[in-house]
Amino acid sequence: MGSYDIGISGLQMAQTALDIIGNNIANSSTEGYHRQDINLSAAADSYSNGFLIGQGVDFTGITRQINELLEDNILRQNTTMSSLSKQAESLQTIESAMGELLSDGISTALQSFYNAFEELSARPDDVTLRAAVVSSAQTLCSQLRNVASVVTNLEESTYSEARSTVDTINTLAEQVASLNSTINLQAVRGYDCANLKDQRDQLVTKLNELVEVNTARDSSGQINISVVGIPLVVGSNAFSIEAKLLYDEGDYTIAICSTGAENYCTDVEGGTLGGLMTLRNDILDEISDKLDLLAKTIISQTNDLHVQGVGTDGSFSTLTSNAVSSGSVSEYDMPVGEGEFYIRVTAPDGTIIRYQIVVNADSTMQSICDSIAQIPGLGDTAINAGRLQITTDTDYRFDFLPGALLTPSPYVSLDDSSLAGGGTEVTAPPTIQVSGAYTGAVSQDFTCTITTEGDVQELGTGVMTLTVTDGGGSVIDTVNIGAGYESGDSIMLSNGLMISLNGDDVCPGYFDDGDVFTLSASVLAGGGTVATAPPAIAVAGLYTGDVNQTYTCTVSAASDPQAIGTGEMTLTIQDSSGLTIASVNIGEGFTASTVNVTGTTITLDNGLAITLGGNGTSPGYFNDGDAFTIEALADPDTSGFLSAVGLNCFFSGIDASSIAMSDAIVESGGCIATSLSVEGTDNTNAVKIANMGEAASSMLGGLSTTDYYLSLATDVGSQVSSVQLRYNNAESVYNSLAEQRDKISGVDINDEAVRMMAYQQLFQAMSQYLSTVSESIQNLMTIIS
Amino acid sequence: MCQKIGHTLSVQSTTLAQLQEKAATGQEVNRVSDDPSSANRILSLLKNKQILTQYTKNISGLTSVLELSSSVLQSMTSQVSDARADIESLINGTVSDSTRTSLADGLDDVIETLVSLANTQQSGQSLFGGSNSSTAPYRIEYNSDGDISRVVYQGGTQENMVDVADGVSISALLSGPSLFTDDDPQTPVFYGSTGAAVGAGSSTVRGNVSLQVQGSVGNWQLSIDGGANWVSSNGTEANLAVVNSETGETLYVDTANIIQAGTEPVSVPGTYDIFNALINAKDLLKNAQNIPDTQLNNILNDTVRGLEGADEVLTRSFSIVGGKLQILSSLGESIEQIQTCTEDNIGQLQDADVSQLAIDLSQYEVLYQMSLAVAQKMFSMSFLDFMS
Repeated sequence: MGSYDIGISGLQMAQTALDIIGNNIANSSTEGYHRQDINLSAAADSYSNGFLIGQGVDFTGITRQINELLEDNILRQNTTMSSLSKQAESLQTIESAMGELLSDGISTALQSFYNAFEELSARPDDVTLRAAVVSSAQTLCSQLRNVASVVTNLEESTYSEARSTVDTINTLAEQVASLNSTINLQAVRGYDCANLKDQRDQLVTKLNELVEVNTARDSSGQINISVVGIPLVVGSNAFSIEAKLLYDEGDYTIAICSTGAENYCTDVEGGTLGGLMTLRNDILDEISDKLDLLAKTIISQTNDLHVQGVGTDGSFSTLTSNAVSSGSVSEYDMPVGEGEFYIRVTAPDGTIIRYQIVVNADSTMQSICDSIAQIPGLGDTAINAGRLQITTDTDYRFDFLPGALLTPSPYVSLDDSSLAGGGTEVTAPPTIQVSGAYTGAVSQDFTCTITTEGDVQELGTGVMTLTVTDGGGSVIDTVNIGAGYESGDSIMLSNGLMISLNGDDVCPGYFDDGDVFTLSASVLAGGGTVATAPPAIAVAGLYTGDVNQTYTCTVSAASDPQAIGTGEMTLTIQDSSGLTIASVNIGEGFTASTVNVTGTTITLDNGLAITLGGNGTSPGYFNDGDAFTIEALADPDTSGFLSAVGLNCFFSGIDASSIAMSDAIVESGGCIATSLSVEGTDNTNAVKIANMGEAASSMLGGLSTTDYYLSLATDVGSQVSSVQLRYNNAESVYNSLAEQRDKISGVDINDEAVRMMAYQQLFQAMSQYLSTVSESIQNLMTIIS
Repeated sequence: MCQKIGHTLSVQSTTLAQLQEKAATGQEVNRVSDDPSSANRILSLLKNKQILTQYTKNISGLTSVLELSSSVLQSMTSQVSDARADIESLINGTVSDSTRTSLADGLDDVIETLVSLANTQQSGQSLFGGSNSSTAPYRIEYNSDGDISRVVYQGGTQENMVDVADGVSISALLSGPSLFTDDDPQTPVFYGSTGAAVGAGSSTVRGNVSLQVQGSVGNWQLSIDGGANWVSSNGTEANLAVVNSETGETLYVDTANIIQAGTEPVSVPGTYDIFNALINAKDLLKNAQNIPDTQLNNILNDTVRGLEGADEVLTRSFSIVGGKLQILSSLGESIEQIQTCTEDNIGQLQDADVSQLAIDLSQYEVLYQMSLAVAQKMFSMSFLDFMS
């Protein structure tokens, strides 16, 4: 009965083949489905009638039409596309927020800000132009804050999305593990579950879209999956991962690790998660840092200039800083270095004296406040709610104007040559700095004697006092410089001079008991009578030097006293180092100034102009050897303290997200410090700030703020362009590979229809065969019966 | 096949959207990512354009101020010239006291007019106040009789420089003294008969002053401020400083040859400003000190020469202002050219080629339609149609 077996095997094969074709057609639109083909082989021969005759067809299995190499390549492109897609979305958002070329972006706002100062420089007292400066600065601040906010939101949403993505990855991993288990079970039973494998492969594809995974098939056909070495699926077990924010050197980065473990990994690539992590850890971080650096530079450049000047509102009766840390200045958000700042105080009688406040690494808001409060006229200075509030006594004013004082100071010399300390570099005596102005009427030497508990005692420790005696031997001050005194603290003496004793990192400053230093103060006396009084000395012009200098001007006269403009008389001017920078005739041929007309002007190379004038009763007399000093400042705040705490600042804030206008400026445009002169009518500071837009900055690697921003905007645009290009390339490759896959694994309904017809005909033929066999047997049976 | 068709349609749709955006904005580069390299150049050029626009505004503002200054200086020159002509005609002829007084009164009006002109403001800024332009730069002071005693400058001595080009700055609000004052002081001239003579020191008095000498031989007292501050002399000093207590001006006097008390008119050539020269002339015309006619005419002659000096200073100022206007005009033209060039460059980089755009749009539209048609055809054909 082999014929029946042959016929039945053919019918069964045709039926199975039709089932497979039906399955293929049914899944022709199923994503991830791979076309299945029936595997056939001729059944083994059987000996019949002396011949070996085939016994029909055997069904040997079903083959998934899959090219593993191609599938791997598709997975790689897919994961790259997912990663790039995420990056492109965020970068396009930032590009739109920057608004360059689409609308008036930050570059326009930045240049408009500098232009507003430029325009104000032409008419510094114009209220409308001052309002325009405020308006342009507010626009700039809001645009910078807006972009910073977009970047911050993206950073936050990136982390949130990363966590959500990790949750999905964990879910998919569990499903893959479950399918692994089922497929393995079916394989043990001898079944090849093509559809389940397709389902599993589809899950792996989805996983790969989320994160680039490494897959490996074991001998049982299960797939093991890991992400950058972290196991995700091993056989039928799934291991979850989690996303966390790591803090390192001021930056937060997204990292993943196995749940509960600390095997953090930040260099995940590919897939949505890889894209999010690259965005957060590299791209957004870099953009954010650059934006902050730009804002910080704009703030510090503008404020460094602004703190020095005054506006049409003139000098101040009160100024309040921002709230800052109560710790040392080194903890402030904005950098404060060792140095000093100078406060000019104008007394009700018009006398102007400049005082120096020393700032070192250990200085605190309180110690600086205490130093300022000692200055005559600024006694009410205090700290309120963490803010330094400098307040003047009635009718006093103060400012931080650089340049030279209109009226020179009496000549004061310091002789500290006898101080030896411990005699070594690390036990040297402290540096003594003197500021203020001698208020005495006669020239005299002040002796400052130190009393200690023992020799080589450190400044600011134990019992240590400084006793100041005048030329007549009377004690005018006794001051504690032992425990409680901090290096750099100011000591206001009764003679109008302010001193500070300063140690440094190498040596805190040491005194021996009985150490002495001398302050020699000399005043100009002329001939000692009203009619032979010294001349009125005036200093004008804006100091153009690069460093702070104290110029000593010494008179050489042929006789005592001698009127200026007569006989032989010379004024010699020396800088802080003792170098003679000018020696000019002030004798015959020199014209003194009058109330109405400026006489001969001694113009120095550093921009300063000195004039000597009669004072109403005397044409101005000098004695031989008379001296006075001119203190000229290039930078009235070498420490950066004023800018860091926001005293007389234009901007507040420390970065792009916090940049804002100072409250005082918003309230009164008259506070915009356009001027560096005492009169407050010049435009020097406005011009300086306006020129900052094109000035190279060391903070920005030698670029100006406007150029740095252009570079940032172009950088973001280039990244968008580059990511888009890479995405398009990956998409092209993906489409090409997908086309190849479709040829191999895709279901073509036409093909299937043709094959269906073939198997249908086969089925019909086999049926006919069986019918023929049956009829033959019937005929045979008829013959027998 | 579906994926390929979908991708092709997506690419064409994106291209059409990009072309539509370019057509709508007329710009080839609408965002930096469209063409980062060109965008960088465009942004840089736009920044330069902003800077140039600001320079143009500055030049326009300064030009406006200087043109008004020029006009005011012309009016002042005319006033001074007329006054000088009146005084000259008076010196050359014989006139009555009433005519002199009348002319002196007329000079009061001229001085007030000149001060008013010197205090001219534009948009709240004084033209001749230097850096201190918010207040009137010149103030008239009157004596107890209500006569003009002097004109005081209270503006700024510095001038505010304004940037008008890269590295070029110009001031428009000029400092009055630099325009209205002759600053070429010469040796003081003593006209009187007291015997006082000029000392060796560098005197700071300006214009005309009256040196009063009183006392007797060996015990003289000298004053140049109407007796407010007397300086004692024993008649031997070759270089005695006599100080004006009000102004601080000093006149160095050789007292060795003083022979009698009296008033010694002194004038200092090369120190007149237009206001005080006219005040001196007016005082001389009123002759309150009863200076003899001969002396008076001599001093008036010197005063007229002082006025000529002041007039020359005014003329010089006129040319200074004119020179600045010329520089600004020239700079303005250059900047305008650079601006045009910059705008051209921006246009070349940023503007879309409209005709090319139209062709591209048309081409992609056809392609898109063709793709749709092909897709429709491909989806409609099937072997199933032939199965029965």
